[in-house]
Parts: sequence; structure tokens; C-alpha cells
Amino acid sequence: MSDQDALAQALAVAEAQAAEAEAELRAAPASAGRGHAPGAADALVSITAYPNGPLLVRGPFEILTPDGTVIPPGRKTVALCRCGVSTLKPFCDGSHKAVRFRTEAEPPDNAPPALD
Amino acid sequence: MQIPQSRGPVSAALIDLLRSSDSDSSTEAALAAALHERTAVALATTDDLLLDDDLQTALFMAYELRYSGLDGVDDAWEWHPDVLSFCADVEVDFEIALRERASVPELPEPGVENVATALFEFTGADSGPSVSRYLAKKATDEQAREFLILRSIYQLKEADPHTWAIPRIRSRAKAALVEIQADEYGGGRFDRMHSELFARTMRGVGLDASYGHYIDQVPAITLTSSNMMTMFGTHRRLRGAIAGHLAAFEMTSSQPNRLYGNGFRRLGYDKNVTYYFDEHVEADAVHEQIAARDLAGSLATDEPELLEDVFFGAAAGLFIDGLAGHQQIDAWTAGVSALRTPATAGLPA
Ligand code: FES
Repeated sequence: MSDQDALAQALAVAEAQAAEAEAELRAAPASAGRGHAPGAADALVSITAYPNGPLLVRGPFEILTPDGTVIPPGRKTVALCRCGVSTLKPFCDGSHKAVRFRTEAEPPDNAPPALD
Repeated sequence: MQIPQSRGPVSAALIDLLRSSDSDSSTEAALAAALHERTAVALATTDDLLLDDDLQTALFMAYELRYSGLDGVDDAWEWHPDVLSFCADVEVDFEIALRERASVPELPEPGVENVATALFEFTGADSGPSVSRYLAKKATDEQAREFLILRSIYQLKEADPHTWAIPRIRSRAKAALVEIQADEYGGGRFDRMHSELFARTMRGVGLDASYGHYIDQVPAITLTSSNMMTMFGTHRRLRGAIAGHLAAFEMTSSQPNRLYGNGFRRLGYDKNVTYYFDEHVEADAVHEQIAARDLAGSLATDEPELLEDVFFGAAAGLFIDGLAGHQQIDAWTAGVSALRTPATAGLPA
């Protein structure tokens, strides 16, 4: 086996292990009810909208294709493209800066009107 | 790592001192005095401390005691007063030179948003030389290897200089730095540590990935770049600068890494070699957001007296890496090696 093959194999093994570890990670907190068991904070997924940039997602999330295939996140915190020009979608690759992507200064006021 | 070769009287004197552990105290005192004297002369007469092979090599050696140590050198030297006072002597002038030459932009009002916006503007306007475009389009296989050799001085200890800042800062900024660094260290998985991914890339093109292997082949500016980070990282006083340095580094990294990856693909290398760069396109797009707002923005807001140093660290990083990039491109376009001596390691015999 050449060095290159050995490296390729090592890379494949590492990726399989990562997928396994990530699957375990996803399975674990799902059973913890929101706001109850210790560690419940970990069960919440948070999405932070970074101005003029991507959405950062933290927590026990999974990203799927429409047919349900898992897209490996590769890291704990991911940045999802919302400018549309990333070449790594759904992930951000920093291209939003080159196209001067701008988000609104304030989040929309989408609370329903108060009842009379 | 191995002890570097001396590049002049100061580095030679430091090597003599570090090797003198078994000597009697009068010999040691004489060696320390020689180091002190030669350092004073070198600092007074150097043309440019930022490009000074001898002084930067000596400082790199003294700093290396804070990382992985030097082969055959007693680790106790790290905190030895003679070594610390040598570092302090050089650091005074080093910091002055960086503050004089790196142009800090107009400072924003404190506030997370203001700081982040100003950092994005500042780093976005950076018109440094484009080593990444050169790699993507023109570099020969030999130049691509030289690029890896030059990078190896920092990348084989990637993230370490910024990690010094973790115990030195608090609150949101600390959590942000830990989040970035954890990812740099592969989320706790050895094979995903960025330094390890870089080693894999080096081995993939036939280079030796042992830490510090190519130390004697890199020009002073490469050592200066690493020394700057260590100086910022290991002085609590400069915690603003190391945070700003990391922010600027991350904010100017995604797209260049894509181009580096493309360059190695163009030269016929596969994923084993390009993975390091491809990984950084995605990772640094995450890190730059966290670094600009949650780290640098929060730090400058919680400790407004650090605001200026956040921008100083960012400016110094871009300035030094710009100098290094110019040297590389000038050498390559002139058809000569960017290394001190041509790389021979890893080439077929
Ligand atoms: S949001 Fe970053 S590339 Fe689209």
C-alpha cells in the first residue's frame, strides 16, 4: 500500500469515526426534555444571526438533504450561508464579504398585534 | 525542536548560554554578560529589527522554551532571569517597531457592533500581496513546497500563541476564544487538529513534518511573524493585541485558503494534501464571525482601554504577514527561492 493510500484510508476511518461520534452526540440530548434534566441547556439549538453574514448554529442539530441524508457538519458550531453566494452551501465560505451582503439593521417586528 | 543554527553574535551567545547548564556559575555569568552586551549592540545597530536574522532567531529560540522546548536544553531556562531579561530587552524595541510601522485605523467608539464593523472594514481594505493568488495560478511545485515550509514554522503549532490569552481574559470574550480554539484543536480529536492536518499536507508532498525541521531555512520575517504572536500572547498587558491579531487572521483567511487548495489541486495533489486548506475555508468563515464580534468586540467593550490594542494587533498581523508575502512573491517572480537555502528535504535523491 502506498503512503497516499494509507493516508486516504486513515482519512476515511477518521471520517467514519467522526460521523459515529456525531450521531451519538445527536442521539444523547434528544431525550432530555427542554429545561428539565441537568444539561438541558445543551439540548437547545441556538441560531445566531450575525449582521451582514451567516447564521451560526450551535447545539445538537443535524443538517439534512431533502432525502434525509445527513450533511456532516465537520465541527460543533457551523455557519450557514444566507447570502446565497457561498460555494460550500449550506455552509458559509466567507464570500458574503466580497458581494457586500447586507442584512437589515433590526430584526423584523413580527409579534402579532395585541388583542383588543 | 532542534536548536536552530546561529545567525549572528546574539543567537550564538544565547546558544552558548542555553548549553551551559553544567558549567560553573562564573562561566554562566560570563556567558550571560556576553549575551547581554551583544544584544545591546545588535539592538543599537540593527538596520531593521523586524528583518534581523540574528535577533529574531535568538528571540524565537528563547520563546520556543515556552512551547515545546529545545533539544538538549534544560527546560528550567524558560524562567531563568538571564533569558527573561534578554527577551525583555528585545521586546521593548520589537513592540516600538511594530507600533511605529503598523498603521492602526481610526478607532471606532467602543461597542461590539462598532468594533466588529470597523474590523471587517479594516481587514477588508487590506491590499496585501496575494500569495494565495500566486499559488492558485502560477506557483511551481517547488514554490508550493517552499510555501509549506515557510508556513510550517507557525502552522505546526497552529493556534498555540492565541491560546495563551484564554486565562488572561474573562466573560464573553473568553468563551468566544475557547470556542474558536477548541475547533482549531479539532474539537478534541487529534487527527482533526489543524496542526496535525497541516502535518498531513506536508507529508503528502514529501516534506518532513517534524516540528521545527525547516527552522534554518526560513527568512527572518517568518520568525518575526511567529515571535510577534508569542510576544502578544505571553504578555497579559498585550491581551488586546493577541485578540485583534486572531480576529484579523481569521477575517483574512477563508478565501486565501480556497485559493491555496486550488493551487495544490492544479499541481495534481489530491484531498490528502488539500484537505487542510479546504477545511480552513469553512472553519475560518465560522471563526471570523466569533472572533470579530464575540471575542474582539466583547473584549474591547468590557475593557475599553484595550480598544486601541485590538486594532494594533490586527494591524501588526496584516503588516508583518504583508512583508512576508512581498518577500515570497518577489523571490518567486525573480525566479529564485524564497528560502534561505533551497529546500532539499523531501526531494527525490
Ligand atoms: S453568508 Fe457567508 S458566504 Fe453566504
